[in-house]
Amino acid sequence: MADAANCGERPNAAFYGYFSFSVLALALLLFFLTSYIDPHGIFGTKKFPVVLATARSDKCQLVREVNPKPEILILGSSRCMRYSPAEVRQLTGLSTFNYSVNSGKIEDFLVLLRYAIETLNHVPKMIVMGISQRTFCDLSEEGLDNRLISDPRLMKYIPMHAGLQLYRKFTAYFKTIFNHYYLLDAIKSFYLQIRGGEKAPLNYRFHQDGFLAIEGAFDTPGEYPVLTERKTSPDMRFSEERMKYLERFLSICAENKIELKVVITPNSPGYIKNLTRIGLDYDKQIYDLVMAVKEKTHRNHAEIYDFSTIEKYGGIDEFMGGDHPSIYNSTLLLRKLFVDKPDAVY
Amino acid sequence: MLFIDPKFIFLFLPAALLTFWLCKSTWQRSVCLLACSYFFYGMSNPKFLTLLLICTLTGFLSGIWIKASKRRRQKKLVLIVGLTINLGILGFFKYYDFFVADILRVVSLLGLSVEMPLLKVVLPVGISFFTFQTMSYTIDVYRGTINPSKRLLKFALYIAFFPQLIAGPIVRFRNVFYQFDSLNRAFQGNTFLLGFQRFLIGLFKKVLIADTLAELINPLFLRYMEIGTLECWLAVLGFAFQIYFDFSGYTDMAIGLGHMFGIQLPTNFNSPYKARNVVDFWRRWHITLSEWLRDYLFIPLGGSRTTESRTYVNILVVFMLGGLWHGAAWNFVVWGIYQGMLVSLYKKLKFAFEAPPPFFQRAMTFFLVVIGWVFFRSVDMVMAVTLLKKMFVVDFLLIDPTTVVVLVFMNIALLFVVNLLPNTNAFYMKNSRKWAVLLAFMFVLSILKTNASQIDFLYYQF
Repeated sequence: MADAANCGERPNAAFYGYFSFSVLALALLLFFLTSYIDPHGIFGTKKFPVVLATARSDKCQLVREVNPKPEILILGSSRCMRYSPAEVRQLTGLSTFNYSVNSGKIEDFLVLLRYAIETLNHVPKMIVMGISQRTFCDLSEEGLDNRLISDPRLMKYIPMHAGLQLYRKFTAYFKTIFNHYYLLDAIKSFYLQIRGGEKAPLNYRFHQDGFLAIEGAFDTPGEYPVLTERKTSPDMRFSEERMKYLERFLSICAENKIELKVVITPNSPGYIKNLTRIGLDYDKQIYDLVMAVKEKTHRNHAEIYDFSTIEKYGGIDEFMGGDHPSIYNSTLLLRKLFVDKPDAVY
Repeated sequence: MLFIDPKFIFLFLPAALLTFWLCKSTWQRSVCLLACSYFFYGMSNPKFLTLLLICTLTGFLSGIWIKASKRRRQKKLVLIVGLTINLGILGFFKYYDFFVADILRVVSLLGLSVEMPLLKVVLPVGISFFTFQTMSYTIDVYRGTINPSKRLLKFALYIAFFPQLIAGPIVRFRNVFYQFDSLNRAFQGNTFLLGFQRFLIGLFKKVLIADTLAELINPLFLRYMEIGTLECWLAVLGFAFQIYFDFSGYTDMAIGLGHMFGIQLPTNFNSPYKARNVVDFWRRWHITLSEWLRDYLFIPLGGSRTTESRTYVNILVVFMLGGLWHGAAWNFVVWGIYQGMLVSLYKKLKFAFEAPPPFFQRAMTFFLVVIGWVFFRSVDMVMAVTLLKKMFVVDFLLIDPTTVVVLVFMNIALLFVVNLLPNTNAFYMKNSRKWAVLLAFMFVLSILKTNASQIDFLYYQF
């Protein structure tokens, strides 16, 4: 590129002025438009249909309302949303609530547990916590979920310095709102609204016990996600901060004498095959996960169960809408856990 | 930290620029720039800073000792030690597991067994680039084409200058040392604006073109066993554009950043898909690497000033090592040999290649380069062979019609772009209002995209 010979400093200043003003104007326009439409239910405007499952607020509401309070809590990501509380009750005789949330990670489980204990004054007897490689992944890969950050009732339960919390909130909002998927969701929500306020296709409903009743994508059998290529690092990097949240979670369980069963949730055979194809060692990932969690649980009497493949719990290759075990597949897992009572890996 | 990371764009870069331009003397600015560069590199992994420092000290001391040595033999010895250390570092981190795995495979085929552990070493970011830069400096001092730097600060900055540290351009010391000597020059508004605009254009190329293509073609490559001929061709073509816009976009950002600090970095791309033959292609693609291989490998081997057959051997060796430089895998070696064979063939049958009309020459060159990209993109030779079979043996499988339609339009559009539009090197700085608004729009779109998904620069892994 060559300099334009006759450009002086003043025209350059004008360029920066126009540029900055345009960026700011576009950013503000985007912000106001998308926050008003609020496709993810972050701001609570409720003017347009929400197109993304929020779950955290919904589950907190349900667990507050449920009576009697559950003796067993099931914590996990959307992979655990089909663990039937009714089935667990039948197997154990204990009332159960499915407290799983979309994209749930350890900080979500910590927050939800603290909400139950500290706000609702309810201490469960047992927790079944479903974890995977993503539960403790590095924050640079997946940060705190904006559905957690946007709820001040829950955010206060994350042990974090106030300044860091503010920074995290800011970056989470920035990444969420200035994001083309968010813009597409806003357009989708707007479109649904002008079609007479139709509900979003992603229509989900939880039972009173937290069980996921209907969820559009969950009813598509046999699909598993096509992976984009990941870095070929052989090691799964766990976040130190998330491991600290695990420690806090475990000590709360120990202090309150809550029996904890940690379940490593299964992946579909096709998903595992894909991982191998792109050069990742699934067995090593699971081994690393078990070792990382074991290191923290040795003082806290938690039991870890490795159900990372369908063979390990007698499951079937039925994973819905992504990498989520079907209701039946989840039931097989629960039966293995509570009826067969396998040896814990720890 | 990547250039496309919002933390880089909104936090690191403004802070680095502000601190740099507030400093007045060359020394202050050098220290500031070096500190920023080490901070930038350390963000990927602080442990790798040690490697960077080792290479820096090796290069610096080698230069001083070569100059101080009276006898040729002594100079050569220092040169060998310096190169061995750099190549040793590169060889260990990049190629140890590759060679050990192959040895184990061969040993196993012979029915023997041997204990050789695979270390699964994590590849330090940018190692291929800064080791090559250090080696080029040492060799140039040995040849007497440059004087060694007497200031460690200046030399360290030459190696670690963050705009080009991670993925080039590979800079020669003679191109930058005088610029580092005069860092105290006054702020040049036009140069800064040039850099600013080039950075934004590079960001757009990388995030909006290359990454969008990646999202479309990566799932097809992942399921390469299931796709048909059409999808295969579209994916490979898409990759040809992805790698170009990814790497040239990164280079634009690097050069733009250099300009913003008042440093001119060398050009690395010159519309490579307009090349009329393979030799021309390599004069336009990753220019600094081609020149490095020519000056430090091809010419010392004898270049083309030897017998014809020896010239072809030299060409093959250089391209094979060039392929290996890109990655520790046989598909890269094969890619390199393939390119070497094309160049040799061109040299042998130049008249035949240059006979057809220019349009046909460009089309033929593009076709040959695209075939080469199959090896480059594949994870192994099995995948490469499978893709080539699918490309040339018609298979009507179709797994994703929507992606096919999008890729058809994108590939056609990009074919026109790379053939008809001028490249960024020919672009003139503009400071009009319309251009400011257009760049702002492109910038906001890029941020929207980069927040949604961050795909590494392809050459980041080398």
